[in-house]
Amino acid sequence: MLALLLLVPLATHGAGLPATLRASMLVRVLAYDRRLGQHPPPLTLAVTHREGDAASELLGREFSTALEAASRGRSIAGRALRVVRIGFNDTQQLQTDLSQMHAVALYVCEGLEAESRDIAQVTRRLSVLSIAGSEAQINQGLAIGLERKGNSPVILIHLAAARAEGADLDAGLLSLSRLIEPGGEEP
Amino acid sequence: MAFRHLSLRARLVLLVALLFAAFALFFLVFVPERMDAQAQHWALGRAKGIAQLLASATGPALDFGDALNGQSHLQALASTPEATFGLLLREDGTPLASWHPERAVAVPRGFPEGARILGQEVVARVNIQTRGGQQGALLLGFSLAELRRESQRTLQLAATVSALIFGFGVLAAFGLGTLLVRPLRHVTQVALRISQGEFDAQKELDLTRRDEPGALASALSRMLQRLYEQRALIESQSEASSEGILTISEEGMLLAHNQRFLQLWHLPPERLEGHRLEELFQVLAPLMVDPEALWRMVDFQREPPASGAEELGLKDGRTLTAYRAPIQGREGARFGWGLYFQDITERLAQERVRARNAELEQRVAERTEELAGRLRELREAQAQLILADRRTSVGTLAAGVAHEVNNPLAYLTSNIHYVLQELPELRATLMPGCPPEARKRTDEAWKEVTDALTEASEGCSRVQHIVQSLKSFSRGDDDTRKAVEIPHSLETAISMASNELRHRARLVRAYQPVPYVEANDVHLVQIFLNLLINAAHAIEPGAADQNEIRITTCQSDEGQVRVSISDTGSGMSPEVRSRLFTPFFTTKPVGVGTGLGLSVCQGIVTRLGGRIEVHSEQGRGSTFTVVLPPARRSAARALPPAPSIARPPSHGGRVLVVDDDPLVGSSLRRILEFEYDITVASSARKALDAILQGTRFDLILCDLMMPEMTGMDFFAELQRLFPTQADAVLFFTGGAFTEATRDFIARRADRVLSKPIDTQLLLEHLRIRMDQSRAVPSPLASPMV
Repeated sequence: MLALLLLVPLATHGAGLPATLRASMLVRVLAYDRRLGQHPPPLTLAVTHREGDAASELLGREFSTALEAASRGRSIAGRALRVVRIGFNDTQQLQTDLSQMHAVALYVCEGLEAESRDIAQVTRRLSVLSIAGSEAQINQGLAIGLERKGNSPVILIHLAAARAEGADLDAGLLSLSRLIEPGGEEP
Repeated sequence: MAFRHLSLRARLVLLVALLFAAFALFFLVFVPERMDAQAQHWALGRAKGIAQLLASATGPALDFGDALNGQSHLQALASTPEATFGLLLREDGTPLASWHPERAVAVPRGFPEGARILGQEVVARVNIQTRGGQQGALLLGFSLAELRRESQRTLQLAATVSALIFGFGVLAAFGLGTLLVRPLRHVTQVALRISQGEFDAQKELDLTRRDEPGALASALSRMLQRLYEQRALIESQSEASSEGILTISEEGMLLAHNQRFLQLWHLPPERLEGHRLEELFQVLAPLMVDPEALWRMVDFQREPPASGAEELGLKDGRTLTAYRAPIQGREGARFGWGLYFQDITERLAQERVRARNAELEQRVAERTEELAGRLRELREAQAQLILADRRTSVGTLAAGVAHEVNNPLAYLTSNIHYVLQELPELRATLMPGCPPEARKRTDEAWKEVTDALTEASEGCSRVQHIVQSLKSFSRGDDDTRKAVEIPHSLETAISMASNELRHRARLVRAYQPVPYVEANDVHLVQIFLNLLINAAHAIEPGAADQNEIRITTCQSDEGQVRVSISDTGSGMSPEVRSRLFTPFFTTKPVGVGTGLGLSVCQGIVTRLGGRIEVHSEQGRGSTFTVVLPPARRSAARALPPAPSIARPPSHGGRVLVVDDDPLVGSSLRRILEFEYDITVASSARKALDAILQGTRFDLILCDLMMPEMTGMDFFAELQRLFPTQADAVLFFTGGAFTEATRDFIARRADRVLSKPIDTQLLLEHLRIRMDQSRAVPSPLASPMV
């Protein structure tokens, strides 16, 4: 199935990965976080987009759909996956929603690049693994990026951010990922 | 079986060598195999471990389809020399990454997870389940060539070690065998030398050792000691035996002998050493009376004689007994024979003496028995004599009494007879002068006198009968037999026993006519008297009307006379009946019965050719039956028929009456003087004087029993002086109570009359004698007593 995903033309959505591929990779990457085995089921995956931004909302809905499709029938450490969508207004609201939903991971859709640093503060505070679709957002403090390099998908890992968010990532994931270490940023 | 014949050392060496060989073989087979298996196991584990490690590393590559990542991990196999290929397969079996795929072996479909050996390679497969939910597999190949080479080297090493073990084992076996067996062999050799007669070899036994050969040597030494003791004991016993003993082997070799054997056969010891039995017997055979007996004794196929021993006669007169006995071990296996000889010459002589003694003792016993029998007979005879003596005493007394009674009875009877004879003549003389009125009274008185005299005469007859019975009983020892009338004897016995009978029972006579029997009347009376008194004593006195004694006479179909005397008394028990005729057996109180009665009766009856039958039921009475044979000739009256009462014509003649009792003489004078010229002499001496003075008599009536000179003396004097006058003597007697008198009467029975004398009979006899003396003077022919 991964091969089929890989056969999907990556140029469909400009420079980023298709939502389905990105959702599939997201689910697999989460499987390498050993911490998730300690959470009570189900594991809630949150997708946030900028509230009021139609393009962001569209991307959010599209990605949520793809993520739901990728999660269907799958489990991580024996725990079922649940996908929720959160419209971002401010960090406070985002923190409240994440807390209330007991989310373990947060995918930050495009359109929230300017808020990525604040969001990273929230996820670090709540120990929620943050995932984004562009290297720039990783550089602003989010933990894992699902990028594209040429025709191959690339997994970007901001190791310090991931540790700050409480992730316990497997070495195998690290062996095939590209580690990002933005200069001067505190982990 | 061949193994049993190997020496102990060889067996030990062989056994130890075999043990080492087995161990070496085991080492050769098991160790390389085991090491090979261990190596394979290790190789499989290692392959599996590497595969699992690599699978863990390549999981993310498979999860994210990162071929490069997978390839980079597979490249790590290059650091493993034996690795041949590596394949990272996706779920559909297509390789995501590979390392030397060209060297990959053909893996069969369904190859399970794990490590397996395929040909010369170990193939490991690990199924991969990625964290991301992907599935795949990792296939790795490893070469076994190096492992095989190592196995070969291990095998070579094991073979070398095994050979060394076996060689060492053989050497150790030889050493151990030699070490262990040498002392044992020494003991064995000593034992063999002892068994061959080298008894001094015992000293070479090492008794100081404390190990098993030492214990064996000690045991052998003790066993030999006990053997020597046993041998000494047997030899001492053998030498002490009175038997000559010769021991031979089963094959006939002479093994041992004692000194007595040499003495018996006069042999020097060297004649036996190393010889066979046959050779010895060839020497002994000439000494034998019957040499075959010697050979029979050693014929072991032949059963020994019933006595167990052969008797061997030697020519020098000796007799030996010989027997054989097998010599057997505890298991019963025979390994020789013992021959035992004993000189029994002296014993036989003693046995002969003993046999003779026994024979003498037997003869003495028989003689003693015979003497005892005779003693019994003597005792019986003594008892008979006692009885006879008693009877004789009674008889003598009875004869004396009879004699004394008969004399007065003689003149009483004669006088009564004279009065009765003279009364009619007297009446005829007196009656004519008697007035008629007195005649009737005189007739009546006359009749009364006549009746009184007749009754007196009958009384005299009864007295005469009783005296006659007493006289008859007194002559018990006389066995003179004549034809006897049974009823007469019975009546005599009844009259004698009447006093016993009448107080106890009614007497019933049931006489049938029976013939005379040839017997002694006195004996018959004795028998019947005994039976009658026994019958009376069986009945308690005082109930005469309720009891009965029945006397029956009859003649049986065989013609025998049967006289039965039955009583209704107490009867007899079987025990009493069985001893009835035993001498001196009696059921009567002491002093009442002698126990001889029935035995004497049986003796008498048996002598007469008869028997006594007894039938008795206890409480109902007894019957004794005397069975006697009838007389062969008709009975002849002892006395001639009574002469007629009518007075015969007078013949005249001179008659001398000699009797010491003057009344007897006067009564005879009174009877005879009508016919004869009577001279009465009161003693034989006076009568003899008269004859000496020349007076001759036609008849001399002489009493036998007189004082001074008896009738027998008188008769003897007459025979000596006047034989013709002696022929004229006729004796009369009242009873003989001396033996000489009885003997004289027996010899002169033809001229003896009994007192009291029947007048008619006397007159008749006188006439006959007078006629005969006038005709031819000869002795009287007819018996008179």
